[in-house]
Amino acid sequence: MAWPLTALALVFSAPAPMPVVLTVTVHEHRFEPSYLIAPAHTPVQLLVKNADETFEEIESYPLNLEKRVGPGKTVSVRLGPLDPGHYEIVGEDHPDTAQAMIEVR
Amino acid sequence: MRLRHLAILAVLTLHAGYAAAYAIYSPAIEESEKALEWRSTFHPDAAEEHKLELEYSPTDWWRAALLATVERSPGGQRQISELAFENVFRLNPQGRDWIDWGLLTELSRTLRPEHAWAAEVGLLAEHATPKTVTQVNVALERDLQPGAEANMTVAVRWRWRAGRRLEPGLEYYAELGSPEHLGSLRSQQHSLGPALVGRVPQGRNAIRYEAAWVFGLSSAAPSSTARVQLEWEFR
Repeated sequence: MAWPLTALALVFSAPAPMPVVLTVTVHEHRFEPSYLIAPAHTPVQLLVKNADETFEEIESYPLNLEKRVGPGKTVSVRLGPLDPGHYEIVGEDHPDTAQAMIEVR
Repeated sequence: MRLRHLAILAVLTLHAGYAAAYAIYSPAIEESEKALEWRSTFHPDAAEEHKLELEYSPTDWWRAALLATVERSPGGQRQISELAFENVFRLNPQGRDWIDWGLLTELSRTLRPEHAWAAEVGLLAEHATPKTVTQVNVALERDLQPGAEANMTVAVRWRWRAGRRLEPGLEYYAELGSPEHLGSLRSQQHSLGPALVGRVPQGRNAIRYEAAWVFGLSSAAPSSTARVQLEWEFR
């Protein structure tokens, strides 16, 4: 009875393959850099540092990304593996200035 | 420190609960987010259940909520029936593993004299791909009375990420009874049906909605149940 549960636990807690790391900083309500490039069909670890003194919510529907980042904090989010294309990221708290693009190729 | 806080809150919550049978919880938590949520369940015999919930996430791994439940039995009047304190804890970083895990705990006080306190503990699982999200909740709830038995519930939702404002999916709910002596499939409640989920941004805030209409798969389940959930996220 125990072995199916053990097998399930191993499968469901198995870490994904090693990702490519992309780092972006929120500074004065803008993403720096605002254009990032990632390889296709590879997991991506997106590190978002918030250098501002206010919260920022990082949002991208095509990336299934929604994460609030506190002032001075860094969050890490795993994405993909992603198909080739352009994926927009917006800071929902400052959508007019906080805009970035990930090109996957 | 985080583990210590989690353990204390889990123990506090185990002291009593009952969470809505017809709801799907996600382990994802947005730090500092506040939300006001209303969810209602309607059965064909005119019974209704409404929950009003005020949520706050003090950290990116803990969401707390206060809930009030209003119920109407068939032919009866609506009355407030339960107050609850609910917590969701994220157990692993979002997206790090194949499944995102969370823990649900709830302590509730029924405002009827025969059921004073109850507790619920649940395991939350979520797996996302670029086009789909699958969520599974397995929970145990028990009245805190001598001799009371636990009740095991399962809730599953699969949804297709067709667009931010409109995501179609399927929801499945089961009430299995006591895990110590699970009855036959016929004696358990199993329901399945279509669902719609969406998020509509409103400037810096947003409105999330969920709606589902599930149909009984076993004779013990209601022939159909409709549920509606509205959540206003604000900062």
